[in-house]
Amino acid sequence: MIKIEDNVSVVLLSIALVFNLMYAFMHIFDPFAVLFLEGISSSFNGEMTADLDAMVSNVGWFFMIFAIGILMTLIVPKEESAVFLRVLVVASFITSIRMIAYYMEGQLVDPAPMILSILGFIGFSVVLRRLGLNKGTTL
Amino acid sequence: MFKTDDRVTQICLFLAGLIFMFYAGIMAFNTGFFIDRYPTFDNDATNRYFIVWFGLNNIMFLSGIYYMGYKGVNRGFFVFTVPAQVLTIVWIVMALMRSGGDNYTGLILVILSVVLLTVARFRMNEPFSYTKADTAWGTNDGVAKGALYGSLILQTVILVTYFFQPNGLMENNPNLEVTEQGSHFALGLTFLNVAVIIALLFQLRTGFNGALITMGLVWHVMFMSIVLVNIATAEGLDNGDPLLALAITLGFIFSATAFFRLQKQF
Repeated sequence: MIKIEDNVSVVLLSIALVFNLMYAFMHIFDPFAVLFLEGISSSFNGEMTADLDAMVSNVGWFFMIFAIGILMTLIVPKEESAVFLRVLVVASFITSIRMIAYYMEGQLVDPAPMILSILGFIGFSVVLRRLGLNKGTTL
Repeated sequence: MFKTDDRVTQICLFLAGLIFMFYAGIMAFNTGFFIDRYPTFDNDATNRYFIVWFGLNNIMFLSGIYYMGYKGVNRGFFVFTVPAQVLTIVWIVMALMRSGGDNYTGLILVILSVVLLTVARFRMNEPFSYTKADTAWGTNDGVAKGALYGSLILQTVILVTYFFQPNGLMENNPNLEVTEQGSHFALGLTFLNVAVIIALLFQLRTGFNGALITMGLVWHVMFMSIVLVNIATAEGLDNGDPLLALAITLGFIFSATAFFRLQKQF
């Protein structure tokens, strides 16, 4: 069923799948989203307005979409996932930079999201490299 | 699609999938709207907790339809889903008898899903007699066998535990209260538990089944993610139901082990 033959990549993608789902549920479901924002943010006042709720849910649905994409990556030949994996590397890199900046500014109280985004960037880069999909590599 | 040219099978499974998708979306992600459809439902934490749970169960059913869409119609899927949905009908009828009958939409749609699944199963042209596999679970992989036996034991323990502590899911969780409606939801989950045991016994006899193992993993990945969310947001391990978290974690380990050891043969 799984078409990717490199076991390390399968493990890394599976872990990424679980964590994307975790972040999806954390943002989509209201009670979790409030607790999450209270835990990580220095500026959140505990009041979940309708606008904020909609925006946070949207973030959650993006995580859900990425989780579905990672699942698809696992069950198709690696060549079909090349662009998606490159997007994941770029997206996780940009996210890591933003999270580092937030943490340095003091807006992010808990470093966990920053650490996870950096680990995500490293993990997706390793997968891209191990599958021979990075730019310049002959498939 | 479904690796068959039979339009009736394709349409039946598509519509059954649509029903699963509808309930997955509405119960898991628009719980308030769902509760509003039932005037006798209390919009409390216990009911919301169980309704989301039932919604996620529907995602698992839907994943089986997707699996068959790519891999072909699979007998194991029906061995699990038909009893699960028939028991759901019994469960809904019991709920309607208690409430006096405030909304029949769910009952009609679940009956429709059973009809659609049954028609698709009959159109498969495969026997209803299930030949015994050469070895238990149909594999010689000791680790995978251990994981599948582990799943069976775990599900049996969960079933037996229900009879000793029917409201355990609420009593063991400090965020929930024991209510009459909550008790009925717990009964519904026990009905699903029975269907899972039927599916595992089917695999014990006829050999492991790709659709069922994949559906099991989909369910466990979702619930494992929620366990992680709870740990992350509760800032500790003592603000939830540790027994449930343990059962989900064990189930996840068994399910993932069976899947990754056997997936090359699906």
